[in-house]
Amino acid sequence: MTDTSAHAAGTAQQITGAAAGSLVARGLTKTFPLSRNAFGRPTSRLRAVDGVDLDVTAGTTVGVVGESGSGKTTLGRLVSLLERPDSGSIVLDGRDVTRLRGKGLTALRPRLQVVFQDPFGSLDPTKSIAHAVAEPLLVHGRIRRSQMPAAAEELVARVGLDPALARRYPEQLSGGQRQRVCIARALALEPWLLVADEPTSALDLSTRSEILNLLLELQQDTGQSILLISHDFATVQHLAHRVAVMYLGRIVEEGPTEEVVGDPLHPYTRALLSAVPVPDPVVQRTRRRIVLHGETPNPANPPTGCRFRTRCGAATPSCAQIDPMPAEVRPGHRVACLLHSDAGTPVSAAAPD
Amino acid sequence: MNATHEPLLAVDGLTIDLTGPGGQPGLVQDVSFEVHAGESVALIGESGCGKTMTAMAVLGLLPAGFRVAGGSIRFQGRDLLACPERELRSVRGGAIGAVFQEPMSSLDPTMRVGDQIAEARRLHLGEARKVALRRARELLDRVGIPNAEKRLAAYPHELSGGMQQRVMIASAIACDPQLVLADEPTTALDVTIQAEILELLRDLRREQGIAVLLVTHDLGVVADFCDRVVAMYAGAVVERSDVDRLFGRPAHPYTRALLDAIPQNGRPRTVLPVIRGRVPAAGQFPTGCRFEPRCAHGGHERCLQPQHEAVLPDGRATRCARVADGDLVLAEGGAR
Repeated sequence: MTDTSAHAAGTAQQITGAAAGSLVARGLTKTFPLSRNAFGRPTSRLRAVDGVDLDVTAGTTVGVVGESGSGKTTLGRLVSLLERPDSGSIVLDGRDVTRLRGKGLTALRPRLQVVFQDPFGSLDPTKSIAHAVAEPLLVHGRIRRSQMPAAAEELVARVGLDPALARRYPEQLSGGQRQRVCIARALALEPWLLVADEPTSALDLSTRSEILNLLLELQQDTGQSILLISHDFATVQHLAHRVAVMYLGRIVEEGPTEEVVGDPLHPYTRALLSAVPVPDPVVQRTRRRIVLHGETPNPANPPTGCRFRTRCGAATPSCAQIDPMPAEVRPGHRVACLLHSDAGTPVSAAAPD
Repeated sequence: MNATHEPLLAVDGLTIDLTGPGGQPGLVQDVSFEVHAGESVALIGESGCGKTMTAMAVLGLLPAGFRVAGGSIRFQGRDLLACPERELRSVRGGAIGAVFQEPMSSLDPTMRVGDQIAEARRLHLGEARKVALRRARELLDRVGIPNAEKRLAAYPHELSGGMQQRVMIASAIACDPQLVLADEPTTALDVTIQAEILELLRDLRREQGIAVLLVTHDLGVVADFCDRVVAMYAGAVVERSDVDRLFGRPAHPYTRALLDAIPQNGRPRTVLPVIRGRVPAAGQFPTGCRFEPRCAHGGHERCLQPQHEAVLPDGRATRCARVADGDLVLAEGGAR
């Protein structure tokens, strides 16, 4: 694997030079059929992601937060080209990759890698760790089969594990070790963009900080971009340069992490942040939680106008009339809320399907 | 919360063995703590530290192969370990309610929500189905489920995760328990739902004086909800303290290390302190201090001796000999 490591150093150079790993997504929409009629035509649809714009600057981390059902995982699957959007475009390093198929797509795959939440479900229990981490290299023709053990040991060592673990099987590893293996596998092909979907949610507190450290170090070493999808604010706050907050398929607020966390503008972001308990009882007792009323609306049938208005404490009648659009209210800080900007489309024009 | 009264639940010297081949004596070793009426006590620690095992022992629901080898569990003055199974069954689900992490796997998918809640009352109090269902409706109202009348006839899968957990809580409090044992009740839920569930449990404590034993690894939840904390490591209690002092002046290197591992607000993108190594597997516990191999202050001669719980002058209890006699002074403050 000596040639691969030399290659790694070379790629790192290229990355800083050519700023590889920049992502520009515009107007991403993805619907899933909920039910079909006798002819197999969808009769009702769920808009999991609805007109999302997202930018990831090369070498940075963007966090996506939101409750379950907000569409954050679907967004991650669209961006990593595991799922094709109904409309919208994904531009990776200046190249539109939205409609890529066949060989073109296969050639791009190494550049986009994914780490999933459940390190138990994403490793084949019948294959050794060495096989799991080095298989991508084999599949993409980077190494020969005889080189697999050496390549695997190097990758395993890179994520801070004992190289001897490469000979073991997933069931012999702890949750944290397995997540490291998943990260090693994702890094094998030196991706430009790493999509990490809840990488720490299944882990203990102490193990979580290990994985956070690992992701930080790897990004500093190789400069890849990371799209970090998580409902854990502490994780996102610690790693991400920028945060996007999603609610029912839309990004409602997006901006620099310190600004979004320190001075959230959208009522939903405020409520979400106020619900995260601070691990300090003295501080926690002084905090006021913004209580959200009602349940999350059915994503298949979201409210007209602003989707958050049914649970928002600051909603006005015009929130039902106008569908707010994200607008820049501070430099690099976008919010989709009528309290902060007038940007929006009247409901009648926002043709519901 | 009056310490002069007899505690509601008193676990004293609880030791659990894993029997059979590959067994481990002292999987849970000498665990002692108390829960007073109306109080909220957290049981914290990493996975594999024996929190759930301890909670299961209180409920008399240890899985096959596990055996209580010593100690006592006294609930309202009665030793649960000496109780015949029949009597235990009346306590469990009656005076002690339980809520588990995954509501979907704790609820019976083939049974209507109303009947599941009513079942507890029918079994424990011998109520007729109609009467019990009426009470179930009130309970659904109580736990904040809108449209309770209609929801009685719903099946668990028709409800969201937060609603399912509310149903679990409704059935846990169906027989007016004095103690609710909640094992990671909010871990599978979104933060907004978590906040609502904690609020509900808080209301139940305030209005009905229910005590809560909360098993969790989320220190934010502990800070938000609990009065006192019992920290466990590798099957042993390493520290007992009230919540303010646990976060402000931890009395064991393990709790100190857990607090340090929390990402801090003001220092994004910095390397976080970690606890090296991992929780030893059952059967591989060190003979001395069980935390010593991972401890930042380990290596001392006294660390190699078995550790015993020592109560500090201010009432905190620690299982670190060096902290107990002032040889080791841990840093103060939650954030560092």
